Amino acid sequence: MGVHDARATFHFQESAVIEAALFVIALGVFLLLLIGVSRDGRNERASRGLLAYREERRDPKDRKAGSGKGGRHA
Amino acid sequence: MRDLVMLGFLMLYVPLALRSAFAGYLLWGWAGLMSVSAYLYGFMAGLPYSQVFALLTLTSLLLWRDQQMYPFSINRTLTWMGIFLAHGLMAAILAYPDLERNWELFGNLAKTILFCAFMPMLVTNRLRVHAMVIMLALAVSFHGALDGLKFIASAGSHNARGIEKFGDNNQYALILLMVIPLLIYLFRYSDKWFIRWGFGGTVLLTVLSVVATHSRGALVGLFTLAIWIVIKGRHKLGGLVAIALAAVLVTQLAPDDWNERMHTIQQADEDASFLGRVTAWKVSSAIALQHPVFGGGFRALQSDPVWIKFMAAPGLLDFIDTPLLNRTGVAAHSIWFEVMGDLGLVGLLLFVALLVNAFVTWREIMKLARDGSSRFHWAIDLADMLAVVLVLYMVCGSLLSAAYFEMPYIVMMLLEVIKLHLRRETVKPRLPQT
Repeated sequence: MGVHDARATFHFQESAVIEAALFVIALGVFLLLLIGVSRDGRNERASRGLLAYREERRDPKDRKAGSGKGGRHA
Repeated sequence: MRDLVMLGFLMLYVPLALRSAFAGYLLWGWAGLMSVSAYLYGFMAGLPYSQVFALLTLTSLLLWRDQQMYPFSINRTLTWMGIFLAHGLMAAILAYPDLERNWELFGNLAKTILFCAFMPMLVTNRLRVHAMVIMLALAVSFHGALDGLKFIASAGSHNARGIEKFGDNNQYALILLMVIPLLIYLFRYSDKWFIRWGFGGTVLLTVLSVVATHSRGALVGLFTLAIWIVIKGRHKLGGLVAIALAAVLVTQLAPDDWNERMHTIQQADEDASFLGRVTAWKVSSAIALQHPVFGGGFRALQSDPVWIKFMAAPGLLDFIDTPLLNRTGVAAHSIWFEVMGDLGLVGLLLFVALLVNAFVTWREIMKLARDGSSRFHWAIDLADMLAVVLVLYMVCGSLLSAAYFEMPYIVMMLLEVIKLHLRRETVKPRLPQT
């Protein structure tokens, strides 16, 4: 299917399906965030998953040195 | 069906919000920015989500003692916001009669500043700052990802308009632009590879959704963002290559009418839309000159009697020749002139002071983080990204009515919160006197 066909056949139905699917995904991802923060301070596992962040900048030098990651929140 | 799903998630959200005031606080911000009810069409559509989650947060604060919470205290940013809000209240009280959106906009501003007032109490450590950034990114980029996907599925013919709350396509594009720096920060600092690439993919979809708005101002904004990223980035050549690739992708995917519209940026001085904006700025400044302290009230410019009264009155831009615009209900089309007309010259000064304060806070963060150690690189990077959000707001907002959007105020307070966190972390223990 070419670009012009794709433009011509994109209708409300496809749009609604994308919207509904993304809406459910958004609700689910936000639930994960809430679960993470509600565990914060009680369980160190809270910081795993969506909330896990690097302590330091991701730097190519770190990878060369074999550390792989700049450090994790624990 | 979607309403049932929402109800199901709500039953999971509420206990979490009651258990943790911070979770409730995130829900409060998320519901407002994502505008959940705009995507529901059944029995769940009418629920005032922001108000419900705000009440849940307050209930949770009263019920449980949050170990990581700080008592309420006044900080510099909150002081400026409080003064600006008090000034807005006076402007709303003394406004021209029958302004349609006077109290609605004042109410929105008050709710935003109330939300910001809780931030220093609840966002008290790095994890919570990170969670706050994720909340902002998820709430706003939902709209961007949605329109980006539709843009791809329609091979570039989708015209993104956003939801009613965000206003027209230009205002919607500005909101989308402002979330891109936050997504880039999360791409850099998220630990799990799938989370990183999730945010990375959302950056691309959000850029496409900005293109899909057909906003010329947004193209200027994208250009501003690209320059900032290259200047501040550690991999300047890589950044330039990525931006060039993105530009090629966008111009190839976008339909012909988009390319034609973007080319009209060069003829701004002949463009009727631009000249209409200058006329609106003239009338806004005329209102401010007549009422320099409190202005005409929120959205005074859009009132028919006010427009007719000031249509030919002397303003600040009379040296620019524009046709007399004989229609009413015209938007201010600039954050600066919007505040000037609504809240007077004093209101504009306070608004500028708020923004200046944010950049002073940004500088303070830089100093504190550099005086600290390499463990505060995240604060430097995040403060940079928050600063670029404000730069985008000021650049693109110069041609849009967007003075009371939530996002810039939340960003200003987030900068304050980062500064307070760094101050606590960098304070040196006092040695006992001998």
